[in-house]
Amino acid sequence: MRIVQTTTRRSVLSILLSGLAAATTLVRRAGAGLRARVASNGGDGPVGAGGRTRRWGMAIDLDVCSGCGACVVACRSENNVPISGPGDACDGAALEWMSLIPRHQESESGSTLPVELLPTPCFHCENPPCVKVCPVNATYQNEEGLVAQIWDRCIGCRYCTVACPYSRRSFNWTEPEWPETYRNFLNPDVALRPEGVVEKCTFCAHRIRRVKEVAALEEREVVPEELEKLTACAEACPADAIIFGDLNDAASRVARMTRSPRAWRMHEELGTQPKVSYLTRDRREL
Amino acid sequence: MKPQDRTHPPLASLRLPKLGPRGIVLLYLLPLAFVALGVYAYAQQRLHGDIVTDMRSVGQGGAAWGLYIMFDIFFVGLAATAIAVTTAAHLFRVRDLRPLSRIAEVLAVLSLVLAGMCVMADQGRPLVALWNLPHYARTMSPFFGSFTLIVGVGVAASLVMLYLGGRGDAAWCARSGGSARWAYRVWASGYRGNPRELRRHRRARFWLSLTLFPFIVVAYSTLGFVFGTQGGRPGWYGALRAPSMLVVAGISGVGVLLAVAALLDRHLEAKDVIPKSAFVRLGDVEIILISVFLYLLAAEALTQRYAGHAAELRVANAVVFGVYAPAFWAMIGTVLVALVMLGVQFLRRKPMPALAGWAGVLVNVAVVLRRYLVVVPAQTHGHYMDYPEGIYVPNWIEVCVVLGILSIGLLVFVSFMRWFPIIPLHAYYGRMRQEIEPEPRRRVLLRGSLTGLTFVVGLVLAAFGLAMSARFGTEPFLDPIVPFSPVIFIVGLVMTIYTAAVYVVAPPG
Repeated sequence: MRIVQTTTRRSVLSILLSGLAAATTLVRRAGAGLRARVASNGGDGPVGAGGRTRRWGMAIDLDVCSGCGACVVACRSENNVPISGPGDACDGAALEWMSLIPRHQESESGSTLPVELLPTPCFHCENPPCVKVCPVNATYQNEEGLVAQIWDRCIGCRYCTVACPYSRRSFNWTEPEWPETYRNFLNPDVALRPEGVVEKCTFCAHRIRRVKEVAALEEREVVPEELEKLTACAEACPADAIIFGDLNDAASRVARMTRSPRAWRMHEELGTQPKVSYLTRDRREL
Repeated sequence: MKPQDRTHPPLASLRLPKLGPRGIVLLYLLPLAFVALGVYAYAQQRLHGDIVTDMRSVGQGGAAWGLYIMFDIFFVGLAATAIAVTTAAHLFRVRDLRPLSRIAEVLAVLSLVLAGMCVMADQGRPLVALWNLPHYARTMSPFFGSFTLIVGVGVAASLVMLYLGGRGDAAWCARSGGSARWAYRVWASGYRGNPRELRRHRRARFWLSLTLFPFIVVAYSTLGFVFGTQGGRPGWYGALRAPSMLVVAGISGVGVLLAVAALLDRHLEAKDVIPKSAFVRLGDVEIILISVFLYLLAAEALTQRYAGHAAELRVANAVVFGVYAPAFWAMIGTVLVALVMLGVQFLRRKPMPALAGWAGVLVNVAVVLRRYLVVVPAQTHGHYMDYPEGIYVPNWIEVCVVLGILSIGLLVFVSFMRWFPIIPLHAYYGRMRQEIEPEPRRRVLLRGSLTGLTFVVGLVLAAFGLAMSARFGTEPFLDPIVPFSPVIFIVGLVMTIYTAAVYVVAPPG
């Protein structure tokens, strides 16, 4: 019987290193192959007039906003956001896509008083923390920069709600209830969200889709004017304070407002690059 | 007397002795009642929604993550330390700790399973989570690390350690007969205990320990990154979050080991099976860990106070002086009392199992409070916007669910201790001195091939699964290229870890 030397630590180490080297090579090759595949597709970003990739954004002029709340009501109605009573709001379980957030100021007596109401939708950040953390890709950034949400895929871990610096995401703590009379007014273009999922403002993605489809059917480009009041909140605003549009279209009203010296974005220092700009004579950030 | 010089005590004396009426009530009936209560509470949560808990929306004064996430971190930390202790016992040949290695291995497996249960209890849609996580898990999310590395690989690694460590003892139990003989035989899987086999066991455990030691640090750090990487959440964001959580995990794990060891030292029939020096050694480690924790706490507090953003300061104030101050000062007080207790043992250089055991219990109370202070205040007070502040205190539903989960762990642990020697017999074996007969070439080649094949296939699968999940070279914010890539990644890593078992078991002989 021939006797052989059994495995030594050195031989195990050499196997280990060879395996690692092989794995690294495989990963690099897979990456290179995929890069080539993507490059050959030439990119598939949706383009607007002049061949630009669209970047949806919003501008809210606080100097003309009266804080009437029409945007909140319109958003709730358009997007089938369940009605939250005062009980839910006090309980911390209210669902809101567009909120009026009060900016408080300390009075002489020491009490804090709301001095201004800020319409606050999801900011559809260019660098969205909520998208980074989602474990199942239920929220993602689409080709036009919208931070979209796949309701059906959400597992309800609420990581996105704690990651959003602006707390613009709502969790369905209970099964939404719709009174029978209200059911007739539900928007068929927007899916109802079940209990246990996170939801948020979509910039009325269904309206964006519709306007693009209509333009395609009529074989024309989408014109900036039909975008300005596209979202439900912008459409309902009686003061013309909310303007929506393509930020990459330099001639659009939203792009011009965003370039205004009065424009600022919420907590830009966080690096999230929100696509919603506020306009004020003096910068009074929350 | 060194452990390896002893002859081992009777097998039955290394199991938990038959319980008296008080023991049955405390260790079986009470936990069973808590399990029933937990099931009822969770059923309420599923029937009526998460509204029945006290968790609420962030920005509306609530905390979206509460008791479940606190205990998820707690259990994962416990498991990480338990694996660290058992690997340290083999890697650095710490013989004092070897008798505690089985306790650590069982704790590691159980803790990870309980952590998984806590995470599932927290999900808004647990069944969807069970399908979607393996299907779509994204590497960009810090959850990917906790889901794949901790739950997938951690459980596999702990099971392999437990399996390898218990094989010899299972063979011993199988020889002693009993109704569960078949189970012992399955576990023993042809163990003969010859010198060659023992040497293979030693090697396998050494290499597995070497692999797992850095893995524990990486895996547990991913849980720290779940919080530490959130730049938009004051109170969480910071580079110290991961190392700080690692240290707190160490404190918790060593504390539990001290408490369990002290209990077994008192109640096992076999006396002095746990070396008294183990209490001193673990106690000293605990003192170092607590000191590092207090240092990190002070460093964090100083940074927040000296240069912190207003929002950071708001969280810090809520913790130290505000609504969370009772929890904070209770944590500091408990830690200091435990430190003094362990300090007495340290200064007297005399093992004090009861004192060390109680210190272990106290530090775990402090660790639970620390988890609360990490998870919650940043959500109720850590806002950059002008949102209302609030407070989160878990309600009876959450408490019952967590108590039920804890009780499941206790029931399984007690049942295991009744069934299997909790102190490994291998702790009594010395290093083999006798000549080991060389193996035939064919068997060596076969074993080498099987081991190498398992390892390489595991590594390739892991690399493939990771590459497909991470979408290297393409858009990272999309689904995995191949569906269920995260599962392929986990299977690959698990196979790599199971290489140790393959090396030991196949081919028999």
